[in-house]
Amino acid sequence: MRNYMIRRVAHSFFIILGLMALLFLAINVLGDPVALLVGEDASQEAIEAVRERFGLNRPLYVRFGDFLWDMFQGDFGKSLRHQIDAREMVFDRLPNTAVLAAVAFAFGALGIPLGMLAARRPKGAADRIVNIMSFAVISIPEFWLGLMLILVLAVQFDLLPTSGFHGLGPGGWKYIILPALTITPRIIGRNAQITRATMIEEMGKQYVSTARAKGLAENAVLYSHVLKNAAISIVTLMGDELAGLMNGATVTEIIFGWPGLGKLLIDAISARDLPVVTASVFVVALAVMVINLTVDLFYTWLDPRVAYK
Amino acid sequence: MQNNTTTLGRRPNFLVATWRRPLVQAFFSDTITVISASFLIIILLAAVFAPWSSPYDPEDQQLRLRHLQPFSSGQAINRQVDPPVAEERFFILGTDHLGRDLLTRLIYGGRISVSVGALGVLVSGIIGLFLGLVAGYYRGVLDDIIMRAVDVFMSVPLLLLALMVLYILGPSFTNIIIVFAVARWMLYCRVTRGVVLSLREQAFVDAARAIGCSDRRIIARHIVPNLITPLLTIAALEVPRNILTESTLSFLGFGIQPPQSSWGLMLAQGRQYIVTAWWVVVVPGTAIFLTALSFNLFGVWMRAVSDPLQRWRWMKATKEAKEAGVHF
Repeated sequence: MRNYMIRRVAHSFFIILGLMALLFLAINVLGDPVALLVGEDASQEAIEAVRERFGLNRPLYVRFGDFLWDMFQGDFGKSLRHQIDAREMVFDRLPNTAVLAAVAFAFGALGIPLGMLAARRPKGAADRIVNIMSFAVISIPEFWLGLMLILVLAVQFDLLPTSGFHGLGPGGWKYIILPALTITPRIIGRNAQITRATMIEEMGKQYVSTARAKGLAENAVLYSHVLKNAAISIVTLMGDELAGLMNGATVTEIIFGWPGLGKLLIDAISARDLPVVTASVFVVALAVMVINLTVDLFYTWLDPRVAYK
Repeated sequence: MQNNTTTLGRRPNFLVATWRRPLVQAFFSDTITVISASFLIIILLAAVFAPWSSPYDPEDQQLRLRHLQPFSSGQAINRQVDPPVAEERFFILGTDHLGRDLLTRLIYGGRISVSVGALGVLVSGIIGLFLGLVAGYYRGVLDDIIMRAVDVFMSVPLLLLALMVLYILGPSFTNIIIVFAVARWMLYCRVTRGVVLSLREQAFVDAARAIGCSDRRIIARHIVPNLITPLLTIAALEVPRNILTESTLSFLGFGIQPPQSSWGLMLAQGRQYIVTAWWVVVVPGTAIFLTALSFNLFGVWMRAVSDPLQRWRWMKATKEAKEAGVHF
């Protein structure tokens, strides 16, 4: 187990390294870093000045070495717009994204009991309703749902603030409701679908017939046998969802002015703030790795047959 | 399988019988699938024949008729003829901030949205199929490299990858297709590799090799046909995903750029008028929603009928099955 974890961490490390190398190559070889920094209609002097200032006149491999070395030290340079450490900016935003993700994720877990309800009687009334509803909610464009919620709940009925952010303390709870309401339905829907699908699949297996044959109550069969075996798929999907949320529910953050990682990244891209872009990509990738590792650990706990060597 | 006992001998017959003939029957007996498929056909026909199916010109601005509500009509100026003449026009879905007919723009925007979704699936599917075949059939170092690459790409959230690509290449129709090619090939690759790994051990592949078929012929004639159903099923569920992603990217300003238009871009442009003219936001949003929903429902039906373990749920019992004593 320990050896496995060490290997797994090393593996993740190389994946991040590969990703950052790709980002570097994409920016420097496919794209033109000068163009990304100054825009297309800059004068020749401005371009030269930028080259000089960011050391872009050095050979590619020297820059790549520097880039990696700085990355290892956690140094992504200063934000071009704000003259603050890019790393600081990202870490400032991280808790906001994490809180929004946690709230959405917690309510999203409601999908699991819904999926179980549907799986009890495939093609029954509950199943049909849950099935259609879950496909409906995953087909709604997230940003559109956000706009509709603003239109109805904030503008029409004036129940909640349209957008904004007032800290993560007790004063700011009103501001998280609409963004969370925007993200949650999709997560509920996907959780319900995967729970339903895996449970129906498991229920076709022989151990279920055995459990029923020995006279176990249907609930006991469902909860202590079927659900346990379906749990792996459910946890995998939930890990996926959480990883997606780490990117920040980008669109939702922008619509509601929620200062998270996604909004930071988009703002940085629009402002050609390269250090901030790199830093946010790095932190998001790191967070995704941590989540994937945690999911792996969950497997061993959920299913003792999964033994990592 | 052929020389089994009589009771078991009927099973393959019954499976073939439930699969081939009643597929059409199964399709028509499932109301929801019929509705979603019909809706998709309407959308596709409208988009393909946009110049004939749309009532007006998508770029025709009638500034005096800005933000007309759905089901309203007004005096428009027809500038197609010389001299321009005034004519009464009916706007079933209303008009936008420049007085353009919303239904017309919806049909033309649908052209872009649906083709981005479908082309994205096609390109990423071909890349994934190719890499999956290489990895699964030839194995070796290439397999390792390709599967590591799958790991790397899988670990990046879709939107992040898309934004990175569009940041570097700049937003355009072609580049969105490139985004889907880069960001969505892994799924097809994994499925292809998995199927190929099991197929290449099968007797019919050995037999083909024994009579002297080349690798290329084995892949083209014996392996690829077996991949069509699983890949089509993924594709049907990937199209709505792509449509939603495209609309998100266009909404953020990284996707389709004016003067081209897509549903996502229509939404982005209408966003600032949401309080005074709700329909400019509601209409394209509903279009995206219904299209994605129909694709999803149709895709899930496809997946169910192509899965032998689930198929029976969607099929009516056939005569052969009833005679064989199989009860549903």
